[in-house]
Amino acid sequence: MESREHGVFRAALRGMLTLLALAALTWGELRISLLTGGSIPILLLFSIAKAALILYLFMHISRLWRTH
Amino acid sequence: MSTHRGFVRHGAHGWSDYFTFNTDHKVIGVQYLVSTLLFFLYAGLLALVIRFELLDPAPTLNANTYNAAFTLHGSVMIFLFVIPVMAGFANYLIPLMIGANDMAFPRLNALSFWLLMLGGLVIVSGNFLGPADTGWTAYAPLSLQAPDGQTLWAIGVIIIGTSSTMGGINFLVTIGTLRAPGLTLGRLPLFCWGMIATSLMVVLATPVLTTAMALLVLERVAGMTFFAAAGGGDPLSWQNLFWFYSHPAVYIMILPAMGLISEILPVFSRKPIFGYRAIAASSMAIAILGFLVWAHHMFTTGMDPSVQTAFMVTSMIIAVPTGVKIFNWIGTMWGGVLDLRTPMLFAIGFIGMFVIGGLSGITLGSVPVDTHVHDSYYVVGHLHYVLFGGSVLAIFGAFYFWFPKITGKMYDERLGKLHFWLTIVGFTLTFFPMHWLGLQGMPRRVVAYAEQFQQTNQLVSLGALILALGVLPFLYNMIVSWTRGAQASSNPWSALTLEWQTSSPPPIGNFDTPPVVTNGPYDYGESLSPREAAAD
Amino acid sequence: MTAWVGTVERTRAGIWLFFVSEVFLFGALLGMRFNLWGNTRPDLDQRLGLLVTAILLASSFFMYLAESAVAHGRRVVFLLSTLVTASLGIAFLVGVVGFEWSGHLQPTDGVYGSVFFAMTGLHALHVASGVLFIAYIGIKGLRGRYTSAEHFGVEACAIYWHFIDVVWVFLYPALYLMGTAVQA
Repeated sequence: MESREHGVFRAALRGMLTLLALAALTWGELRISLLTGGSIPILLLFSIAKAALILYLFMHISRLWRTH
Repeated sequence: MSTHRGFVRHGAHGWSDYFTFNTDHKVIGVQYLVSTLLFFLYAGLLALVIRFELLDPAPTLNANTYNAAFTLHGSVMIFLFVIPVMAGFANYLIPLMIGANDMAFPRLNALSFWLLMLGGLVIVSGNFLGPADTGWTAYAPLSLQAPDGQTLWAIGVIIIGTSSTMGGINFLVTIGTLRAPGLTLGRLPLFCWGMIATSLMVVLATPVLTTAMALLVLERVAGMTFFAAAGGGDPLSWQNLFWFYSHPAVYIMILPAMGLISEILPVFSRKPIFGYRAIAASSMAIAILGFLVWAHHMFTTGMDPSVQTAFMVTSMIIAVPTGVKIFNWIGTMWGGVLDLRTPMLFAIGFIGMFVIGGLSGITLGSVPVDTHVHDSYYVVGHLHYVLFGGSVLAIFGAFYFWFPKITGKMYDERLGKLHFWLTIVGFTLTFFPMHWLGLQGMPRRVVAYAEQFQQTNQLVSLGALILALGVLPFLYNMIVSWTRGAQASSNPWSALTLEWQTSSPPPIGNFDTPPVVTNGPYDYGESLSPREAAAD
Repeated sequence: MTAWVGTVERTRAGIWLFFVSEVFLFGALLGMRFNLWGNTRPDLDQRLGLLVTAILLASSFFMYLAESAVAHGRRVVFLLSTLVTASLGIAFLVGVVGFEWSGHLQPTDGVYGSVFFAMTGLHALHVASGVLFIAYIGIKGLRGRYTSAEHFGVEACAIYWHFIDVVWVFLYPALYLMGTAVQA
């Protein structure tokens, strides 16, 4: 049984890592937009990647089919 | 066990409970069925106004009044009758059919119903502001120039769409999570399968209509530009958004009807349904394919021929799962002990009329033919064959079939048969000649027409009158049988689905002992007609 | 028998179906954007766009922290995180409605202004309702209504908030980054 402090700390760390990944992708989006003149397909890929991160790590989409 | 928290009620103990925010699915079901039937009568009277006007080639009514009449006729029939009446049957029947006490979200359910009433009120009250007069399709830029009632019309459609989305989510979660022990998906009554397919389409397609309507309101009210070509907008994008919803809406109106038919046919054939899996799977196939055909409404808008061909092919493919259903229904009746009670008559009528509507649909789905008959009375004939000859006949049949369950009383069989025959004769006289008119070149939605079409139009109007007269015995039957009819047993048709295994009308909470399912919904083994079975 | 029988699983399924429906609501607007703007976009304040995007992404982190805190029974962390999330939500609204909407692009400015205001407006309505939802769970949390075992209200609020964030993940590039800027 992990301690309460430990549990929240781990969650915060995981959330922070997710946020960092999202920030990096957003920065990448901005650069790519400038480099490619706003290429729609590439930017869509970035959006899909960001959405997938949020869906899986923040929204726990797997709870829909995994019971716990 | 009626609960009573604030203004929320649960269950009916007297007629006044039907006018409250009631969370009992059976009360909500009856609320839907009765109120949508009133909208049906209203829109039917508007149809008589239309047919009165078309008795004479020269305009009798003011052209704007005529335009408003057919706009309101179409909008009310589709948004306030055919779509929500299915929600009424689904509300009443799904929890009973799956052995549940109620829907998954009872308060959301009550909210859906009252939102529908609000939306209906908004649409109808638009007539006092200068009525919407663009047809139910409200094509831009015409709908941008229409009177103020068009704005209320669009807001009303948004409210109704929200109501039906909430209903769709509720049905999906209910069927997904509240089934009785033993009721596997392979034992689910086919009406429930129809509602799964329908609800998926409702949840996915309705928001697109909401967006279209919201943009229309913004463009009309806030001076924004989406559809007006003058400001750089794109009028065709209205048609794309509108038909992305409204073609699936065609299946939203017919898939539940096909489900109703699949319940009625095996009972009165005393045979298991033929091809259970094929019928269930074809509903799902139609739900998916239904999203890939919308542009066949737009063949004459100057589309690229390769796009036309693609949409023509997808439209033709839809005929395959539909044909699968038709043959399965015929297979169900084949060699059965047919009992031609009123619900069965309507079910058989449905098959015949729907086949005609389906075939005229295939011809319309073909680009060369559609180019010729687009926006003609051929289209009007086709859509009434699928919507009236399809959906509405199934709805009538369902009203008779579940009448003893909902009211605990038996309807009058003779009046029911009179209703059926007047309907079939009136229907054929009304809508079949429309195909001739269309092929001869009479455009739809016109207040005046060429003199050579007068005789056929008078025939059509006569048919409409017979069709309207046929509704009278139906109404009389429903009202008098409900108040003074003979008591019905809990299972007068000896049917096997769960809703017949409880008393009529079912108690609050539906089942005194929670049902456990051990067999399929249509395992009719013996060749007993319902009447013989009831006599046993 | 199906594995999901509880109220929580049922409500969760309902909420996710609602999200699916919302995807088509915003999807239709995105379709209008690609149809009417094509490979162009209005000339907008890039710094402001990046700032509000960063604010909303950060708010999702604090929402996640709030949900994790309540699951571990850490009430103070939960309350502080909801407060920060709601404040970031309000800051986002100030950025979009307060600053971006009073810029040079106005709703009557042809298709650029119309699409921009329709998309940000619908999204802002969702953010505002999300802030109200967060206030609601914050007040309930203050009254001690949530336990580490039972806190579905918090989960519902959290996934709604993250969903609003996902929508913005698509709206931001569609409005600010895709295509080449033109003067509307």
